[in-house]
Amino acid sequence: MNLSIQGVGKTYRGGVRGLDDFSLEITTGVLGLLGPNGAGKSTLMRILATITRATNGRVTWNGADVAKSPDAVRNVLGYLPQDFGVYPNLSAQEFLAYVAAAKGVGARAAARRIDELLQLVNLSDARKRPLGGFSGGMRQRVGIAQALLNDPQLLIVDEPTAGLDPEERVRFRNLLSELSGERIVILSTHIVSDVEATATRIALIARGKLVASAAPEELLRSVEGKVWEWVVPSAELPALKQLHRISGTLRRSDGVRVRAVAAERPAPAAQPATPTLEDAYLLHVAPGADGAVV
Amino acid sequence: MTALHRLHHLARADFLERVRRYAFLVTMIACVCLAYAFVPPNPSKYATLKIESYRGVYNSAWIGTSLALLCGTFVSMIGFFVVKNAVDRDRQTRVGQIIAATPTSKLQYTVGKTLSNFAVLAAMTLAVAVAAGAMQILRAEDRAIDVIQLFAPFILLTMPVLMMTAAIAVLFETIPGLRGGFGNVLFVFGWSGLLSTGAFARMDATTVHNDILGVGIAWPGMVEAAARAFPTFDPAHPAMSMGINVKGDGMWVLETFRWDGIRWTGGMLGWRALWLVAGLAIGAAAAIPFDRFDPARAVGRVRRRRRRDPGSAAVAVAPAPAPAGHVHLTPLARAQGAARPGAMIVAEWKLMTRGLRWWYAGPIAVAVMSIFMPLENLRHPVLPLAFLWPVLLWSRLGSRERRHDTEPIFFSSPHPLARQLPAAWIAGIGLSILATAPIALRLALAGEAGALMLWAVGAAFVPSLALALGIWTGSSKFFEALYTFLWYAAIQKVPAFDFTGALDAGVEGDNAATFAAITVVLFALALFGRRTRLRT
Repeated sequence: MNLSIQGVGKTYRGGVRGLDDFSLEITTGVLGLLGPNGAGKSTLMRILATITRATNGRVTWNGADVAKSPDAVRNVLGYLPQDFGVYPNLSAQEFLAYVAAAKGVGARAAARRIDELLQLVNLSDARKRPLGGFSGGMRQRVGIAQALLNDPQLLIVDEPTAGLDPEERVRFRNLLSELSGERIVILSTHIVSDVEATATRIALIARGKLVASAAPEELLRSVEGKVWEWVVPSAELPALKQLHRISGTLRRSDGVRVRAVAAERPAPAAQPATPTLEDAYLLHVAPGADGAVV
Repeated sequence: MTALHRLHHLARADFLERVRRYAFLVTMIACVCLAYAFVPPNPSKYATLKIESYRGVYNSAWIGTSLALLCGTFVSMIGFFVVKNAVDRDRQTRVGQIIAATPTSKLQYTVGKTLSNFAVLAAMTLAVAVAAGAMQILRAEDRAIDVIQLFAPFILLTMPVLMMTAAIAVLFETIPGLRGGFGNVLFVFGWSGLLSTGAFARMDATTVHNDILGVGIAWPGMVEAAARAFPTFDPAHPAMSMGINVKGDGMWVLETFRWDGIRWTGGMLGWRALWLVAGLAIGAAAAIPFDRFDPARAVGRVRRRRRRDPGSAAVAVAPAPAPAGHVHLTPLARAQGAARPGAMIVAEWKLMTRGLRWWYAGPIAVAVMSIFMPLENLRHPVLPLAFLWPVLLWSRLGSRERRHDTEPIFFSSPHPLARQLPAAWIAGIGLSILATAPIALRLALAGEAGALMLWAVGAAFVPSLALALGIWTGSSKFFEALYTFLWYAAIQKVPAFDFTGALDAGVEGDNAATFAAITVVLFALALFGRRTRLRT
């Protein structure tokens, strides 16, 4: 099972580049695609999901060119778009049955699968209610269920936890981890904690380019010795923010405990700290970052 | 910020949002084409504004006034469908929620939207007016351009009509029952009625200036000029014709006379101003039913639904979290993904007819009438009426995915072109058959093979038209408008427009062949449109 992205670029009308020479090999497991807003994550997701065509480069699924034979991917694809709608007069069960028919899932298998999925996303009690009356979080869960209807080999989820409450967010992360065994899961988000909990590999994207791709441990190693913490008076904080990449602050009685990412010790009082993925993200993606590919 | 300042920005932003769309450019080009079509050469296969077999020389006065009147009729009718989305767009884009949280009052909002609608329609009319000047030079019957005579009718005759249209569009959008397709169909019938009763009742050449189109202002002077030019012409009972009058055999060869334009009086200007103000008043009145994007205002509808279906609680209350137990997902066999056309058609059918129990009253009534009524009466008017009944269900074809933003889900499913589109089309044909089949059965029993064939073609033609227009325009309203016009011509017994088999005019074979060819083209256009959309 292999998804290969080779030099993919996307230029929108007016010359705006959404993606620029992006290459990545993806195999089974959860790939966390992390990047700031407007980095090109959703553009890449749409290209992989056959919704949008790349301007240049190519994407192959098990060797088959996705642009030439999109159905090769569509047959095994589960896709949760960042923005999607539902038919407000259908119930969750009816909507899922409709999507199942569109995906070519057999009637009996679809019925069983819908039952299981509604349980999984905690909507069994609401299965017969019109979708028009669902909250944003409930709709998102319907979206998750439809993505899993055809037991996909390639699951692409774009900002899946948006609108979910903390409990549902944890449930969804666990679900992704469970699902990742024999399939490729691509999780696009700008929430580092979502990726931290589930990803077996992380790709960092900024300004349409791949800036890093590595296992979480490797990313953490790349930032080792570059994370510092020290306490400063509150009044010095604004000036400090101009000088260093600050990844966190904590108010204390004696001032503010500052956490920063820097190659050299930023202040005499600064002590090395244990790095997190958020620090690694800042190191590689933030404006002025080194952009080194791990 | 003053109320006026807020109103200005509300209307301006909405206007700019609309005119910067590609569709608006197409609309403007269509307006220029309309102006070209409204000034036919002499002789011509069709005539537009004429008095019996006469018309005015194509000078600034005649071209300006006739195009202003035709604009009042056509642009106001078509324009309704162009502008009737100002509030809906705010609802769909959720910008309405942002506006609702500002100090903008409901009155400011609806009046602002009315003014924005009016500005869009005025821009369309401006395109026609400029093209009118070009047409005067092109037809070259009188090349002297009189700017006042050319443009004043557009301002004084057309603009008040457009203000009414602009305001009615906003009013319809704020009333839940008129927001959708029913409102569109109602407008076509209501507006046609208003224009015809207001204008054509005044064709006795008496000086009455109060009709909405302003025909009563222009008409008497035209009749007088014709009477002066042609002594045989009887000005007491002049037969006026305004629209697209196609001559059945041969060409219209119209004799021309000179008319120097309307002599405006204070009374005339007063009536036009009154219509303009009436339009604004309707826009202001729309503030009363306007819900200010409050979802709670829909609670009444939800409650009614709940009463029908006690098992369904209505508003978005998340269910209590289930115990965090492990849920097993049964793996699917890899053969999944194969085509299931039957299931897809059933799914499309369910989607199309969901929640419309009342709708089945129509086909049941047709079935009952088919048992008792003579075939002649069944063919006309019952058959055309049966063909109108599903209009609001057909109209969702093709545009539903875009309207509800489900495209990403369905376009990433296997074979979206080969599976979902034909299934929707077949479900649409099924709807035609369900609505009209009992009459077709009577036609078959009576041995009316030609009519039966035309009925079968018509049953496929209508959903094809809906699908093609839905896919290309992304909206249901264009089909609703066009189909209502087409259907109106059919029920008025215009043989060329009979796509139902209602007329016993000996044109069944020709019409069946014509509409079958159109159906094929429409379906191909639908496929091409969806394919293009998939590839963008």
